[in-house]
Amino acid sequence: MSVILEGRDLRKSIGDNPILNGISIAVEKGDFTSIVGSSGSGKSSLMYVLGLLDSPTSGEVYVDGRKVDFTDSKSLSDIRNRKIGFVFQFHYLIAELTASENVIVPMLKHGIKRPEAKDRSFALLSELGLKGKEGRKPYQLSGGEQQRVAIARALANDPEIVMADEPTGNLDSKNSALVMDVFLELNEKGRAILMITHEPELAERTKKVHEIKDGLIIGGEEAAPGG
Amino acid sequence: MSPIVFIALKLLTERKRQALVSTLGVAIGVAAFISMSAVMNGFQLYFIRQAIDINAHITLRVQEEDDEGRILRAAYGDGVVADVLGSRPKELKDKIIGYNNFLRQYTADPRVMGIAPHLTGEGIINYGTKDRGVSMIGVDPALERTASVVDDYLEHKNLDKLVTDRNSVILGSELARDLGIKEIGKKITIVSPTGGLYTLEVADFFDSGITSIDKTRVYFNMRTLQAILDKPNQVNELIVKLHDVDDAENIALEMSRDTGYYAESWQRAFRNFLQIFKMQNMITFMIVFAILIVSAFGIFNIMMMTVLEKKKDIAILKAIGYEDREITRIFVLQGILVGFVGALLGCLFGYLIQEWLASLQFDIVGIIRTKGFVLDRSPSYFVYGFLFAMLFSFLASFYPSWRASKLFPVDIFRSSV
Ligand SMILES: Nc1ncnc2c1ncn2[C@@H]1O[C@H](COP(=O)(O)OP(=O)(O)OP(=O)(O)O)[C@@H](O)[C@H]1O
Ligand SMILES: [Mg+2]
Repeated sequence: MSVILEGRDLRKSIGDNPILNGISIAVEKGDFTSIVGSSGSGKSSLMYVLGLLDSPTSGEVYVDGRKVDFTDSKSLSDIRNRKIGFVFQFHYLIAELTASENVIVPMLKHGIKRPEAKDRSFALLSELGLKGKEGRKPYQLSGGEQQRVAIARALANDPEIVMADEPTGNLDSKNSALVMDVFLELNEKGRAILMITHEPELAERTKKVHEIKDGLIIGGEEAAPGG
Repeated sequence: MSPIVFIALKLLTERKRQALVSTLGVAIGVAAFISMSAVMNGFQLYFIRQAIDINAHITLRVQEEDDEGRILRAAYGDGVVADVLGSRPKELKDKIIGYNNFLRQYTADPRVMGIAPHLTGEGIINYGTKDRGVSMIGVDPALERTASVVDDYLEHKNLDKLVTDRNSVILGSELARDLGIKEIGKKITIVSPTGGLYTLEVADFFDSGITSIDKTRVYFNMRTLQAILDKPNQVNELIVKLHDVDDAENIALEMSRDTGYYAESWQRAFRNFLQIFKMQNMITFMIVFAILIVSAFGIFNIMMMTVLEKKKDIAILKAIGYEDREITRIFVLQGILVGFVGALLGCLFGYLIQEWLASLQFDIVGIIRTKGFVLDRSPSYFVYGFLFAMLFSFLASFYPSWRASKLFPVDIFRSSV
């Protein structure tokens, strides 16, 4: 299978504080990988580096087999815009924009024209069970709905990989399950997903699990810990 | 529509109150600039125009009115002139010799519109029980017309009465009021410096709007005044009207050189006023500048707050691929839009305020007298006000926007837990 995203010997320290201590990880097409580990182990830090939001102290990241140049901020922006979709614990929707407009924002940056972008946003929102709520502002939506709008935004430019940092961390169990179902469905359609989670029962439902401790992967790919 | 315009417009129009407040701030600044400039410059231009017209563009005198030591002091320093007590001033030359030659010479000069001789002197006017010190001017009406606009300021247009009835005088309107003279035909008495008494008839009133002139000036026929002052055929002042008032300084210098008499340009005659006007303009400018700065700080403040409030939005925009300069533009554009709309509104308000000021009718009595404000409604104030506002709002929004673009999204994602 083809590797979409790969990190090789990633190290990161902030000040004297080592946060990532040589992590190598690859995400292939169709993967649903979860990353688990205790609080402070470096999960988010790893995702920021893999998602090109932060640069590693040393080590390389490859996207579609091409080495990422962390000094070229324009190409970093481009890759994030086209190839990666982000979902965070909080939705980070822009309060002034409607659900549909929030989804349109990455498309406009991509150069998609507004009418087309709007159609696409409606389609995405309806896929995520938000038909009829396209014109609502974030505050007019429930927590679960907000998070699904955020997922629609992550999918706006049809990225190769979706990265999610505790996407259900702020949701009740019902909404949690709903969001997890969305991810499973997306993955079934072939989209690669990298998900950070605290919850073992969610990690169990993914295809690969990596456990991180003190900035190192300690659990192998097949060694999915049952908790 | 580019995504930047789309996002900027959305962010701005969805926060109407903030946008409105900062827009109004700019509008007030611009309106203040436009209306204050119109009032100040209107007053100054009016004053200068009146003063120049009435006092001639260049006045050729026997000598400078300043004290004689001035030149020595200027050349050799303050210590050089001492007062000599008990000395009597020597007989001063007090007439322009050969003035007819000058008249001929300068009438032929293409830069000169007209030139007229004056005999001036101090005297006392008496009417009933009232006495006033006056400055008397003897004129030749035909020549006077070529060099001044005295006709325009006469209530009854009776300048020629000075010729047909040599015992006529024309009084400044304020002087007439002081004396209690309300209509023409009244007899007044002039006391000459040597004590002679002359009874003359008021032929007209002279109302220039410049209080100091209207309060003291009395016009005579040249011959009459020559007789009163006992200066037969003498003239001590020539007034010159030019085609271009801005030439006055240079031509005055030439005339001084050519004639050996002292030629004073209107700029020099009014240098005190011009200096005061300069100060006034500085003060106006500073006030308006302060207003604009305040409204710029309004924009700055709101942009800073917006950027702080919008940290999460900025972080996500960057995460989904917007570049630093695009973030800067999104916020700068908001500031510029506020500035643009504010400036337009300010121009409108400024125009309305000017309309209102122009419609006011009341007596202004000061160094000039008018009914209501004299406004200078030059379009350039609108243009400047507009450009200032745009510049200020750009500058005010640039720093906050730049700061916004430098936010590191990871810091935001980490901290907003
Ligand atoms: N700006 C920083 N300066 C210093 N240390 C930092 C900074 N940011 C993070 N860290 C440290 O880096 C380590 C890894 O943080 P990270 O957020 O990646 O952990 P995490 O596994 O995502 O934890 P959690 O499950 O709580 O989200 C932590 O020990 C944290 O204290
Ligand atoms: Mg984390």
